[in-house]
Amino acid sequence: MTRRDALRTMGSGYGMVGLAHLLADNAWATGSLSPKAPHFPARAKHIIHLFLNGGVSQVDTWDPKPMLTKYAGQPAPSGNLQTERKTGNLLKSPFSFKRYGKSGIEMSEIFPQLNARVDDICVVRSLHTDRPNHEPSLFRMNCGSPLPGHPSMGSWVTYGLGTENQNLPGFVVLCPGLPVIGPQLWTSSFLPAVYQGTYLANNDSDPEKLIRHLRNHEISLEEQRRQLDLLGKLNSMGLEREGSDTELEGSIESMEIAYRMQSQAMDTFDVRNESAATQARYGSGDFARGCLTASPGTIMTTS
Amino acid sequence: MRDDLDKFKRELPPPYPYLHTIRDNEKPANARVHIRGSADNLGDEVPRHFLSILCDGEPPAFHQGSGRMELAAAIANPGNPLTARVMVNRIWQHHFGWGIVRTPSNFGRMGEPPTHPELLDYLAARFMENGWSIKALHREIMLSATYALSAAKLERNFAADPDNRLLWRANRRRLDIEALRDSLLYVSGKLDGKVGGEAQPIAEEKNDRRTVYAFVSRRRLDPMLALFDFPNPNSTSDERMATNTPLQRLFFLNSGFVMRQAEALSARVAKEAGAENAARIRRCYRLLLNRDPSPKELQLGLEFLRGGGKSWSEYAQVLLSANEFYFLN
Repeated sequence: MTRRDALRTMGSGYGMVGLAHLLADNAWATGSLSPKAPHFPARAKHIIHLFLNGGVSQVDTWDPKPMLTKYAGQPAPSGNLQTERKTGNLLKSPFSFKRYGKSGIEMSEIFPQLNARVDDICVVRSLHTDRPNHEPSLFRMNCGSPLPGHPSMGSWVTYGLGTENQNLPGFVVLCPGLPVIGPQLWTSSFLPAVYQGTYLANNDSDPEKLIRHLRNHEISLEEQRRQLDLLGKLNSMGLEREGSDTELEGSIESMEIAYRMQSQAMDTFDVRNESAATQARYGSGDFARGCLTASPGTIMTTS
Repeated sequence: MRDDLDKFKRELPPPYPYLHTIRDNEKPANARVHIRGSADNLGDEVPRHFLSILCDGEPPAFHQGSGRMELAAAIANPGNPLTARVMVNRIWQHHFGWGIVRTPSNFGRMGEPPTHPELLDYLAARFMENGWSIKALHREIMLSATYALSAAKLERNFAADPDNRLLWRANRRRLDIEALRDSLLYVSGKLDGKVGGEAQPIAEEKNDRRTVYAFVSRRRLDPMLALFDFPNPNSTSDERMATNTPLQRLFFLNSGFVMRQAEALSARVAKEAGAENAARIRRCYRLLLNRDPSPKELQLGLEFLRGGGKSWSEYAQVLLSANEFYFLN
């Protein structure tokens, strides 16, 4: 790999970060989700990735554009832009910007509550893309490459750091309905299957409706444990015959998580357990409920 | 008036089967270039002809009607091997999990080159020779030594080619939802093999028909289909993802569908194999896994069944949830 290749790969995100480790370690023992020590001491406890497909424009929120205001109502001084439709005159943001907090970060008036918290926020304004289209950009944002076939960020994080909560999937995707592209946005791709995102359509607040088949009303948990012990033995005998295989191992691990999820998910995903005051602070709707669900733990991506 | 409407609706004859087709416009016209794909930004009018980027020089204009027939003939022309290559690659992908070209919708410079270019060309040529017969192609692929390989792992081969690009073994694959649901119904003895007829929602408990007859709603995809990676029905899909998530395992643990099949399977083996637990377990293994249980597997089964109560359907549920049933080796 040339220096240029290396730079390009790093520039497009998560590309090669964990590959050296992956190549060195192909023994996928069970417990591949247990917490692993990071290379650098971590200051963050959780990652909640809110991916707002079709969200508000940066020019109306955190990224003031003085030149846009200056040339408002005029054609772009750079000449006619090649865009999908006929290019009109420039439109300035209808919102005003002010500096807030000790950091003096400029923010728009549309987030009066957030403005008071600006010193807790890191705003990145250097984001740039060479993709004018939605689908490649969705891949770029979630998987680090505009083409399909790369693991998503959540898969990399779960692969690299594991998860402290062994009773729920380490990487959860909350989205009411499927977003454009769908499961490829949380795929583990060439990483072992156990690191892929678990998708939950969070249109409902009742965990039993949110997660289908969450409970068995005919077989007790003790009886189910007996079933799973037998299943575990049969599956590991199969593994001995077949040799190590990430798909088979991922399936075994998924079954154990599924069993533990039955009890844990009833609490974690039931936002109705939160106080009325907390619920009121988050507001109503799928998105608010997704944010409230995401806060207690694990790594979550809201698409 | 509402009552009248209801009455008329009740009196409607049952809907007859119909098919949407396309008919040529009587006076087809040339279209103008949409600059950068925009209908508001029109360029020159262009006569209808085959794609010039795929031709040497400017291709001749089409003359018959809209030119659809001539376009179809140019696409399926023996002198244009791309169409046959793409088709045989899709069929190969269906049998092996990966195509000979691993980017099935991109045979261009941005796609992956074929792992076996001569094989791809051979199959494409055979496909055309056999009058584009898909059945003949399936047969030729499935009679090959490569198709007959098992998924068994050889360490030496694995070290040299972990992605199995050289096809030294079969790719282990999770059953897709159609094969999975059909297999669960088949082993429980409940599969309705009737051919043809109207699509029916698979969420209906009494629906034991093959999954190929599942009613697919574009607006609201059936949750069982969605759980096992049925593609989004609003767009074309060139390959099936096979995820492996805890939610899918919850389906095996708790869904009414799997529990019903487990009960039906235990009733079936009781009827077919008699009162002996060992004979029933052997029957289960033959039905589900196409082999006899090992002495250890038999012993584990017998121990589990000593739990009494509903042990038999619980045991059947375990076998239905086993990796060996779920994956194709």
